[in-house]
Amino acid sequence: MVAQEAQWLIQAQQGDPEAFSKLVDIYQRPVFNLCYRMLGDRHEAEDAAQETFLRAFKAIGRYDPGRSFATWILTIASRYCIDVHRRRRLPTLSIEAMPRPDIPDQALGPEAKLGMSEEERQIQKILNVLSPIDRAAIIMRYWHEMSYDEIGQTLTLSVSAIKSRLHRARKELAHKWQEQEKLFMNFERTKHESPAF
Amino acid sequence: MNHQPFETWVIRDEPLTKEEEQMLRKHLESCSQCSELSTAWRSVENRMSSSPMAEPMPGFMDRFKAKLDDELIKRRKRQTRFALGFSSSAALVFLAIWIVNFGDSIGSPTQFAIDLAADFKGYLSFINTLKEVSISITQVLPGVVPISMWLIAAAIISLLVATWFISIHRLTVQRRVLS
Repeated sequence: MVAQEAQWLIQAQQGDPEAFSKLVDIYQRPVFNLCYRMLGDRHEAEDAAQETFLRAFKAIGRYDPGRSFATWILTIASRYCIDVHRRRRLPTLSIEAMPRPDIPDQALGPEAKLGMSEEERQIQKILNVLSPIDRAAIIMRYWHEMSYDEIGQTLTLSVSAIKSRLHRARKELAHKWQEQEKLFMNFERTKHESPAF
Repeated sequence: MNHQPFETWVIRDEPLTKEEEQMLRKHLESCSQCSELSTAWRSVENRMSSSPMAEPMPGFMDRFKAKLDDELIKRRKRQTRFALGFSSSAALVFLAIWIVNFGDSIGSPTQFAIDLAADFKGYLSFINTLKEVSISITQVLPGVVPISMWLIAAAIISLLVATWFISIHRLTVQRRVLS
């Protein structure tokens, strides 16, 4: 499989779109996952993942075969998602207001979707407290199981900077979790109180 | 109460030494703040570890292939525009040189016709000279150049022609992404 992938990479670098499509087929899941965890919306994640692969196709000639393709493609995806976050801060026309193609969400059955949505919402809510770079580092560490060195290469940061960012991010996530737990406890208490006053 | 280094140890990614572990356990028994932080981080970590990789929506590959096809068409159009622009610029440069050379005769149609005829005659005599030279060479060369050199020259010329055809084919044929 690795040899086959290397062969597709060589063919893609020679401008073969079919070989590149095979690489997309292999890497669509990790790239989509990174985009989804970074942006928190399936439609935006789809756009970001598609854009990542198009950018990769345009830049495939500059790809160094000595480097991991996974790290390279996730570098493009994370940079694109960080840019999307930066653009979100600017006062521009809302993406939500723009018409988007109707893509049916058939990836999961309705039961699985209901079961997952609460978990996903909770995870996404606490991930949202992090800065885009810290969020990318956490996603790469906990979902993609990347080493400090690989995360550093992807985000063009030193290993010590990655360790420090991850430490800060973990602390922020734990504090946000505590906050959420307290809010939930208060909500539960007021729900069962007598409405006498 | 001093929470360091326990607060750091609670959320540290790397394993603790046995001694550090004992110290942390002892501290957590007496410090509710660090204990709560530890519980919260463990919950977050468990939640993240159990959260699956998000799957793209069905048809992701088809949508990508359509986009890639559009991109290839755009690229082809860009190449055509570049080739046309380059050829037009070259034609304009030649036209400018020609106008400079014939600048004096543009004002008078008779002079222009005479210059053109003279130029044409010049080209014809140049072609005639070339023809005579090539005939002389073909009469002299076979006796001088050995047959092996002729074969090498023929092979090189065939290779160059084949390279030219392949280049033209690769530049002009639009590749499609097959499903």
